[in-house]
Amino acid sequence: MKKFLLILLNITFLFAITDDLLIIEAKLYPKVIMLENKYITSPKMGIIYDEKSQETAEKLKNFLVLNGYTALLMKKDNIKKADGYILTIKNPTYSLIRTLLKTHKLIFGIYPESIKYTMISVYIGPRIKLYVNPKIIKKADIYINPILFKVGKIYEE
Amino acid sequence: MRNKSLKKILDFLIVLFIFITIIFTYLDMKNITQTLKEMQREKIALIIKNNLSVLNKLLKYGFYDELNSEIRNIVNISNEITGLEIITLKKKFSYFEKEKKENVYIYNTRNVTFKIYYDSHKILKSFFNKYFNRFLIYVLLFSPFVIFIFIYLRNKINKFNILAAKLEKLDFRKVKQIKKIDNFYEIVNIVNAINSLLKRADSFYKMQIQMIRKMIKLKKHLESAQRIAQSFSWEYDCINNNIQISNEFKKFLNAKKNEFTLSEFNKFFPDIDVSYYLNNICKKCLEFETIHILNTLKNKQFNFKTIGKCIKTKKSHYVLCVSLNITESVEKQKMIEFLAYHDPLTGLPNRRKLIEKFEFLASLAKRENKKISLLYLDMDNFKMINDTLGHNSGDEFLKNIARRLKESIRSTDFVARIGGDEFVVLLYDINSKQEAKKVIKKITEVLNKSVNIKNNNIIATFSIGGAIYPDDAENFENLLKYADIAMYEIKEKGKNNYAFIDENIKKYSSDFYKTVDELKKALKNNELVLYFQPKIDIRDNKVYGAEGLIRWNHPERGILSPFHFIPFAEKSGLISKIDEYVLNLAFKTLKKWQNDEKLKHLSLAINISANKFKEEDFVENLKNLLNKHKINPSKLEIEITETLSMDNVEYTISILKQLKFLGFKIALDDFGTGYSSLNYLKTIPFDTLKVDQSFVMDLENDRDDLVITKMIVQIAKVLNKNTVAEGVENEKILNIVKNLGCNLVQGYYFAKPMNEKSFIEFCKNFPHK
Repeated sequence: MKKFLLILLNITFLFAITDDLLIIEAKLYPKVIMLENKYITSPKMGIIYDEKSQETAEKLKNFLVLNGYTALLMKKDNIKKADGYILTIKNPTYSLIRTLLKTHKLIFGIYPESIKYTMISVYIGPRIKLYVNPKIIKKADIYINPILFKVGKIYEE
Repeated sequence: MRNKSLKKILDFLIVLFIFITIIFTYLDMKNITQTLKEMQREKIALIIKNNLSVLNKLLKYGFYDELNSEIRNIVNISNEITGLEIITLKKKFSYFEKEKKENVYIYNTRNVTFKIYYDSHKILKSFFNKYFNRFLIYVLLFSPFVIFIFIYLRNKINKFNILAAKLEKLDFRKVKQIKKIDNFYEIVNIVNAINSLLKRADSFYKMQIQMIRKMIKLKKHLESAQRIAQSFSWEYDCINNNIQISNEFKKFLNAKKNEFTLSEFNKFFPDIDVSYYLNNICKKCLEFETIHILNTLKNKQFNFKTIGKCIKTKKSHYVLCVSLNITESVEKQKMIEFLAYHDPLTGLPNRRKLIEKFEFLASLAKRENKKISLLYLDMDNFKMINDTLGHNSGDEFLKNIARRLKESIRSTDFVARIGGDEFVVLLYDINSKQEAKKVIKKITEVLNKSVNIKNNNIIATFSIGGAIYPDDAENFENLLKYADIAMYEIKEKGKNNYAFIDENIKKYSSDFYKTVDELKKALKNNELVLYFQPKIDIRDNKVYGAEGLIRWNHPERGILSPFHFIPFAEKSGLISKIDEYVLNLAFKTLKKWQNDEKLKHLSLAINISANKFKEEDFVENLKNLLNKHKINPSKLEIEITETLSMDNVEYTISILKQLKFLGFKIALDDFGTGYSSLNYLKTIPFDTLKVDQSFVMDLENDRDDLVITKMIVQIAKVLNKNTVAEGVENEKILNIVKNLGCNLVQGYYFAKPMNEKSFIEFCKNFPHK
């Protein structure tokens, strides 16, 4: 019965972003930044949205703020300086990704499938883990804490 | 005991414990070190395994900076790892904390080799630091405890040593209880047990001491007894042929050693061959007893009795002997034998030796047809010498006489002392009385010389009687008897002379012995009877009583008057028994008379001999007879002669007083024939004076007798006593005595002595019509 409920929950996370997932991500992503840079004690998170994801982005912002972090809502064409970026857009453009890579900051996606173009996403399996895409990280040429490779799941195409 | 002391064992155990602990610690450390190293390797392997996925991923995705960072991180995080090297086909990543690469752990995967360098000392150091810190804590915590236990145990064990030292110093003569040395239960228990043991040991020791003292005392007693008894022990070893003697025997022999060879020992025995004797005893294994002479080294000779016993065992064969000094008893025996045959005072042979000698000489004389003269010598008045000069002087005198007597005879003759002052000389080969008389003269010449005893010159005279063997008698007893009789003849004839037995004397002697024998039988067969001569009271012409006179109703010779037997009785000593017999008869007669009304007034007078009168129990016997017969004692008149009464006046008076006290009457018989002192007469308690018939019978013819009789009667009257005139044979004499004042008479004029029956008849018919 438990297994069934878990599978059902995964399916739910897989096909629709939920507040719960957002709450998790709002707690998790700032800590990854802090892990990467010891000097950042309260990371400023840039939330990149479009019209479709504005509402989700605002929710995420609220959750981040509730957790004591600074969050900036940014439209996809108005990228501002932040310690890390969270993409709420389901299918971002290549140029957006390229822009973000140039910032040499960590790029998070709120959807598990957004790992294809983000550095870190959330993997929903039997356990919820960070989903790490080494190729994108390598492209951004940034140093990441090797622990992520230990605790997170590596995305491989 | 000291080598195996508990203390040392404890010390050894402690050292052993430390040694084992060190060994075990060393081995343990070794194992721990090995284990730690393995653990370290496992830990390193585990670290690598844990980080392997990350490292692989970092390699795989080309995060080389991160890889280096991770390698550094791994090295830095781990204390043990000093360096890490990752070698791929193309690249090599490494990081080292130290230059020195001590230990390497290599881990291979498909394309990558991991070389992990680690510092094994670090982990060991860390471990041992902790280990020794804890060990130190344990040591600090437990060492005092262990040391305390060690010291405590050592101390307790030491108490045993103290106890042992005390026990070692213990003096069994003064056993003291061991004081409490510790409160430790076991030690207290042991001390108590030892004290209990000591107490028992002490009592046992005391008992042993007492026993030993007793044994020593007994041994000393035994030794003293042996010394006193002169009993010595010695032992002959039959195997080694040597002799071992006791210390006492050694002292006695004046020897310097206790062990002798047979030949040495033989010298002590002059009369027996000891070696031959002992060898025989050994061979036959016998017991023996022998009397022998023993010579000491000081040439003193002793008589010894030796008793021995052969003892043979598996291991030994010896003769155990006890020698007893019997010299004294042998000498005593000789002395006894000498005394048995000799007179101790003079040293002359005694009667026994005399008999033996006579028997020998008689047999010799018979064979050689020779004669022997036997002389019986009795010293005259020897009693006077004893009484005047004392018995010691008498003895000295006797010794002198014996010596001179011995010197006066020939060597073939023999002299013996057979009584106080009586000697017998046997003259061998003297064949006639004439020859014997010559010898007697020679003897008397020697003996009659004066002897000075205590400044008194004494001249001894002897009455000597002789008899010749075999002329006079063939046996010793008769020969001696005849010599004795002959000697008595001389004594009676005035002493200091000699005579040989002749036929007359022999006859007299024969009569004497025959009469004495018959008298003895007469006393047994009641042949002696009382005759009664009446005593008449002439004042009223009545029978006053009678004088009891003894007669012998001889079975062959008829009635015999006292003149026939009384002298023999006096000489033989039978007179006393006759007196006793007469007294018995008198008491019986008086008892009979007192039961008869017509006779009970009669008194009875009886004569008592001087011998009887002087007997110690005379009065006591009369008292017994009086108690037995219950007669009126005033009717019994005891007549004693005037001579007897004056013999020892003091004694006579005391006896007569006792008789008077018992109630008996006393008459002085034959008065006038003796030497009466008027002074004594006054004090002698008598009742009657009897005028002797020698005065009375001639009264009518002899004026002197008349005067004497008159005086006697007058004395009686003055002293207020009765007078009895004896021998009144006719009327004239009766009238004279009547006129003189005599109140009682007896004589043939009235009656002769008669038997009891006739006397009673006489009394009943008197006065005669």
